[in-house]
Amino acid sequence: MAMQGVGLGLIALGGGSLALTGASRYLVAAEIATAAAGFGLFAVSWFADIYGTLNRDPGAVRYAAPPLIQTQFGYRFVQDSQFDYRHFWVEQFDLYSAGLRLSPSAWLSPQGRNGRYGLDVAYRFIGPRPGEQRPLGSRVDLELGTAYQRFAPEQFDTTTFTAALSGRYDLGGIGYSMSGAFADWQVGAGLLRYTYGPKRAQLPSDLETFLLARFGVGALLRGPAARGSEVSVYYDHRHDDFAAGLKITGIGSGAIGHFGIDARYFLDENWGVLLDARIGAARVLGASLLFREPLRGRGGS
Amino acid sequence: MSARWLLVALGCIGCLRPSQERAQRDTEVGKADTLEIAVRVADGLAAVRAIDAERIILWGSAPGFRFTLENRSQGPRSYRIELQNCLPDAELRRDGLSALPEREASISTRKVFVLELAPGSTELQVTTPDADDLEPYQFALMSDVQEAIDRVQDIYARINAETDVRYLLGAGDLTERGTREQLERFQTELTSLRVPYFTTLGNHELGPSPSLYQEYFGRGSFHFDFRGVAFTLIDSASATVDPTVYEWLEGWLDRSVDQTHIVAMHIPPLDPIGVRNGAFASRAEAGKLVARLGRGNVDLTLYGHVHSFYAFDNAGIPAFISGGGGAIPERFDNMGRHFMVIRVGASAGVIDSRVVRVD
Repeated sequence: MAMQGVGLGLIALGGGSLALTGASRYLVAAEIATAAAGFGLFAVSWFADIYGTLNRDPGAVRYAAPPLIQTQFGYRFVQDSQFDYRHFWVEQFDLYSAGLRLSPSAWLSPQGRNGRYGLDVAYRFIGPRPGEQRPLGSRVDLELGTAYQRFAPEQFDTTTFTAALSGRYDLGGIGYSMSGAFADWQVGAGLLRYTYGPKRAQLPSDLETFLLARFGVGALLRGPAARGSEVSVYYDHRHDDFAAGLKITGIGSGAIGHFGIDARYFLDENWGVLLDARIGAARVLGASLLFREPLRGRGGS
Repeated sequence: MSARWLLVALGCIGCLRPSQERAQRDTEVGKADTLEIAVRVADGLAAVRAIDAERIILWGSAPGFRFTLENRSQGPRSYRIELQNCLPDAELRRDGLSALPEREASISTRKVFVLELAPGSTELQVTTPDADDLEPYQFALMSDVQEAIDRVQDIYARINAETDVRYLLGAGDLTERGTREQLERFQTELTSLRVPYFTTLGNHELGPSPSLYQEYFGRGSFHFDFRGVAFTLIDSASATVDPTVYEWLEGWLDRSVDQTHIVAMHIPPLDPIGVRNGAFASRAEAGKLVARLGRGNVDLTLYGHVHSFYAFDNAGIPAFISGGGGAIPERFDNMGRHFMVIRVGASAGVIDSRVVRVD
C-alpha cells in the first residue's frame, strides 16, 4: 500500500510538474523519469499484490546462475505501416566473463533492405556472476550500447549510443510469499544520429538525445521448466527501435513508449526458447532458439 | 471526461494507422451534392460549409483555388457564393473575368458573390490580383492557441498591425479538444483577423471521434502555390503521417522540387529536446520523413506542438517550432506568446524571418 502511495505520488509529481512547466527543456528529463518511476513502482506494487495471493509454492522457486555464454537465433515478424519490411532473422550472443558481459546482436531482413546491428557492453556491480548461484536474483548493471540501423529503400541510417543503469530487484526480498517474482528496471540516456541520403549525396545529419526508461515485472517459471525460465511484461520508453512508441491519438500523441512480453522457457541446462512480443508504433512478434553454456565447477545450475 | 479519454487511449493501443480515417476524409473535403446543385473543389482546397439550391458557403484553405458548380436544374439559376477565410482582395473569376462582390463585407476575409449559373457545369476560380506576381511577400505563422482562446485577440491585433502580411499559416492545436463549440468559438474569434488563417490540425483537435476539424476548416493534408512559392501542410497530429499522405507528399515534393517549398505540420518529426518526445512516435519514421523532405529540396519546415520557439535544422533544412498561440507555455524559456513573420519569394527562397512577441 505504501509503495502504491509513493508510486502515485511520483506520478503526480512528475506529471504535475510537466504540466506546470510546459515540459520545460531544463526539467523534462527529470519529470518524465519521475513519472515513469512512479508508474513502475505502482505497477510493481499492484503485481506484488496479485502474485503474493497466487504464489502457492514459494519454496519451489529455483534460481539460475548466469551462464558463461548464451546465444539466440530466431525470427521476428515486424508489422509497421511505415515500412515495407516484415521479416527479420535475429541473432544475439551474450558472452560473460566475471562481471563483464559482451552482447553483439543483429536483426537482418532477408532481402537486405534493412538491418540493425548492435553491441552492448555491461558490467555487473551487484548480483550473481557466471557460475554464482545466489538465493536472490537481484542485480545492478552498467550498460553501454551502440546500434546501427540501415534503411536502404528510405535512404537513411541511424546510429545510437546509450548509457544506462539497469537491474532486477528480486521481490523475494520483501517476503517469502514473493519468492520467484521480480521487477526489472533501466534508466539512462542515449544519443541518436540520423544520416540521410546515399553516400555520394549526403545531407547534413541530425543528432537527437533520448531517454532510456524501462520497467517490468515477472516471475520465474516452475514445474517442468528448467532453471532460468521466466516470463515478464514490461514498458520501454524507447522510440528508436523496431517497436518504438505507441501511436496514441490525442493529447499524449508521441510521448509514450512501447509495451512487451518476454518469455523464456528452458527445456534443460542448455536449450530453451524465447517468445518476444512488443507493441508500439509497430507490432513485433517472434521466437528464438536459446542455447546457454553454464560455467561448471562453482555450484552452477 | 477523463474516463472517456482513457477509453480512447486504450482503444488506440496497437493502432498502426491512427490518422488513416482522417486521410480518407481529406479526399471528401470540397465535395457536396444536392438534387439541384453539386460542387467539386479542386484538390480539396476549400471545405463546403453549407450548400442548398440558393447558396453555397466555402471555407478556403489556400489563397486561391478552383471549383466547379454543377447546376442540375433545366434552367439558369441565380446563385449566391459566400467565400469565407479568403484574402481581403480575393476575386471570383469565371471565364477569366472577375465577378463583383455583392457588397463590401464587414469581415475582411469574407466575400459574397451572386452569379447566374447556366444549366450544367460552371468553372470558377478564387484568386487575387497579385497571384502571378513572383516578387517576395510575407506571411505569418501562429500555432497552439488551445485554452488561451480568450486572449487570442491580442495576437490577432498584433498580426493585423503587420500590414504586409498576406495570410496567417497555422500548424495546429487551435482548440483544447476540437469540440464543435470550440471550433465554432475559434471561427468566431477569427472574424477580427484581417487576413485568412490557412492551417492544419493538431493533436488537440482529436478529442471527438471522428474529428470535426475537417468539417470546419478543411483538409489536414494539402498543398497550394501562391506567387510561385509552394506550401505543403501535413497532418501529423497523431505523431505519425499516414501512408496515404506519404503518397500525396511524394507528388507534392516532386512537383515543387524546383520551387521555393515550405512544409508545415503540427508534431515535428524530431524534437530539438529529444528526451521530451514532442516528436513522432517512431524515430525511424521521423528519419524517413526528414530524409524525404531533404531529397525534395524543401526550403523551410514549420512546426507547432511545443509551446515555445526553437530554430534548428533537420537534414539541413531550416526549421522553426513556433507554438506561441498562448497554450500552457514552456517555462524558463523567456519566450511567451508570439508569432513569426516570414518573407519568401519565388526565386529568392526564404529571405528572412522574425519572431514577433505579443506579451
